[in-house]
Amino acid sequence: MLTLERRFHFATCSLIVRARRSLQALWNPAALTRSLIWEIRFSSLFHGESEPMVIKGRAHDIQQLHQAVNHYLTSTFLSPAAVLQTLPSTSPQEAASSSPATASTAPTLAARGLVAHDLACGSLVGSQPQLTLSATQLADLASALDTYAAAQQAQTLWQRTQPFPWRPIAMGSVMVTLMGTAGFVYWQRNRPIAPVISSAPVETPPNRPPVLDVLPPPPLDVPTPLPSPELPDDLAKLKPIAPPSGVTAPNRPGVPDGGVIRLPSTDGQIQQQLPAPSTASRPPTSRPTVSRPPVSRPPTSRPPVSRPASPTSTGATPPPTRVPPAATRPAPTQPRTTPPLPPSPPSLPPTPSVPSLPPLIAQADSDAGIWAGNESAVETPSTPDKPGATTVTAPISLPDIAPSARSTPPQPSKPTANAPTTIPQVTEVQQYFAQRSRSSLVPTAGVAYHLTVGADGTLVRFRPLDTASTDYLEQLSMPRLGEPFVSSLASPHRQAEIRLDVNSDGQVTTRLNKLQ
Amino acid sequence: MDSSTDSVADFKTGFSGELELSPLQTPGVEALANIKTHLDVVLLALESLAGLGSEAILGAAAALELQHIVSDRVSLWRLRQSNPQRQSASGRKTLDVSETRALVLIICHLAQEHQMLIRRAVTLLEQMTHQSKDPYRAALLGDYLDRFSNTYMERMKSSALTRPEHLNHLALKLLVDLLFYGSPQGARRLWLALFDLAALA
Repeated sequence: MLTLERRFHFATCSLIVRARRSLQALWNPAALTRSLIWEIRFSSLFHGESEPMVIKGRAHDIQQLHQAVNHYLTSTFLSPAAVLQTLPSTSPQEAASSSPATASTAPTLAARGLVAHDLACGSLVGSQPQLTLSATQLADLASALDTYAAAQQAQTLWQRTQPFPWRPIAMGSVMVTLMGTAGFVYWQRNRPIAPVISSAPVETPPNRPPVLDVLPPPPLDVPTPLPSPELPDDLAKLKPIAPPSGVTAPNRPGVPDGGVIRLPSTDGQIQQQLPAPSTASRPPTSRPTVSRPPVSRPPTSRPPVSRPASPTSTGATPPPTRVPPAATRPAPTQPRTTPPLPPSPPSLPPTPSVPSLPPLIAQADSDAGIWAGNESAVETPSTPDKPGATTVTAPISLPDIAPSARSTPPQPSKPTANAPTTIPQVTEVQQYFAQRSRSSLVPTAGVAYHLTVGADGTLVRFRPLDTASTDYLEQLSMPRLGEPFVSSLASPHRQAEIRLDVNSDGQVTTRLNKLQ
Repeated sequence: MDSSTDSVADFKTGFSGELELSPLQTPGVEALANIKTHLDVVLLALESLAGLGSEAILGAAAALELQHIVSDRVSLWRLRQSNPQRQSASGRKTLDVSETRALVLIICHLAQEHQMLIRRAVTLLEQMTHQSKDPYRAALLGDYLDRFSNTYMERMKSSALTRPEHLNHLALKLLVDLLFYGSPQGARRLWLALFDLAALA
C-alpha cells in the first residue's frame, strides 16, 4: 500500500503518523494532511504487564491534543501560581481528586498530584476513555507533539520519510530474474530428454517443404518390391523385338600369346615352344583366380552343380589350385549384376589349325624358368592315382621300382551313373605318350599328370601330381595348350580329365578321371 | 538591550519572538514579585539537584551570550536578590523584562544540560510514588530534598515556608517542572507560564 509513515520515538511514547500517498498529493500537499492518521503508544516502566495505552486520531485530532497539552502545561501545571498556591496545602492525592478530568469532545488534561495526569481522550480513539499519564509520559507526549508541529509547520514532515523503496524492489526483481533464469537453465540441462508424444496433428506451413527426417528410417523386413513397369499403350502394341542370339564362347583355353613354353621331349631336348600366356596385356587384378577367395571361387571351369563326386570331395579339402584364365570364366549359372553386354560380333578369330605332326623336340637349353609364364596351366600334384587305368607298355622297358610315397593307394573313383567309364580319348592319350616316353629318364617313382582335354580334343590344362613329375615335364613330350592332340569329345561332353602315369620302366598308363 | 544578542540567545534555545511581552501586558507589582520569586527558586532547585554554583550560571550566560546582563557574580547576585522572599532583599527591587528573559534562558539551558539527571530523579519520584514510598528512600531524591531545604532555609525568610513537607513538596514540584523546562520548548513554556502568571495578576 502506498502509505507514508513517520515515527517519532521518545523514551515513554511513540508517535506514528501515516498518510496515504496519492497523485493528488504530488501537487497538493494538503491532501496528505487530510488523509493523515496518527496514533500514540505509551510505555511505562511500572505498567509493563498491563494493556498498552494507545490513542489514535486524525489530523485535526492531533492538533486539538497538542493545544490541550500546551494549555495544560503553561496555564495549569507549570504556572508559578499553581506552584506557590498548591505547595503548602495540596498533596498529589488531593490534587487528583480535586481536578477530575471532564469528558468532552476535546481531549483534556488534569493533574493527579505531582507525577500523575489524567488524559480524557474525548473525541480521540483510545484504548481507554481516560488515560493516566506519568510526568515523564506527559513530558514525552509534549515533546512528540512539539516535534510533529514543528515538522508540520516547516513542511518537513515527510522529507525524512523513506521514499517508495524503488531500489530494494528493483534489486529484488533483478535477483529474482537472475535466479529464475539460472534455475531454468539448470533445469534445462538436467531434465531428461523424453520424446514428446502428441496426438495433435502436426501442421506444416503451406509454403515450407516438409522437413526431412534427420535419421534414416529403420530397415524394413519386407523385401523391396520389384519394379513392374507397365508400357504405355503405344509401346504395348508394338511387336517385341527378339533378343539377339548369344555368342558361344570358344571352349578353348586362352592361348598365351606372349611367352614360350618349351616342352621337353623324351630325349631330353625341347621339342616345341609353347606360347606362354601374356600378362602384359592383361592386368594381374583381372585374374579372378588371384582376387577371388578360394571358397567363393569356382573350383574349375566346371559348374559345381554338375560336378561328380570326386576323390577330393570325399576326402580332405583339396589344396588351393591355380586355375588358368580360360578356365575361370564365370559359370552360366552365376548371376550377373552388370547389364548384359551387347552381343559381340560373331567374327571371332578362327581356331588355329592343329598340325598333325609329331611333337617337336624342344631345344635342350630350356630351363625351369620358362614355366613361370605358363604356371596357370600347371597345377601342383594333389590327386592320387586311380585304379582301372589303361596301361600300355612302352616300347622301352623300364625296371620295376618300388612304389614311392607319392604313389599312395589310389582311392577308387566313383563315376557318376551316366558318365561312361572310359572314352576313346584315353587310349589316344596313352598312345601319344607311349610313343614318346623314355624309360631311362623317368624317375624311379614314376611320374603322374592330370590332363584336361577340351571338347575339340585340345589340351586345356595339365597338372603334375608331384615334384618329380614337374621335373620330368621337360622330358615329356607334352603337346601345346590349346592344341588338339586327340579326337574331339562326344557331343554332350565338354571336358575330360585324364590321368597319365609313366612308370620308371617307361610304361604309360592312362585312365579317365573325370568327364564333364 | 541589544537585540542582536537576544536573537542569538533565542536561536540557541529555540526561542522565538513570542517571548516578547507586549507593553499592554506589563505585569503588576505582585505578579512581578511572584515571577522574581519563581525564577529564583527554580535556580535554587537546579543548584540543589545538580550541585551547580554561580560559575555554572555564569558559564550558561556566557554560552547564551548574555554577558551584558549577567556579566559577573555581582550582577548575578543582584538579579537573584530581586526575589522579595530573600532574607537580604533590601538592595535591588526591580527586574526588567530582559533580565527576566535572560534568567529564563539560563534556567532552561541548565535544565537541558542536566536533562538526564532531572529525568532520572523524576523517574525515581514516579517509582516511589507508585510504590507509595517516601522519596527520601531514594538517595538522589533524598540528597536533593536535603540540599533544597537547607538552601531554602538559609536564603529565604523564615516566614515563607517553615514546614518541611511544604518544602519537600515545593522541591519535588520544581523537580518535575525542570523536566518540562529541559525540553526543546521548555523556555517557551516557562515564559508563557510567567506571562500567564502576570496576566492573572
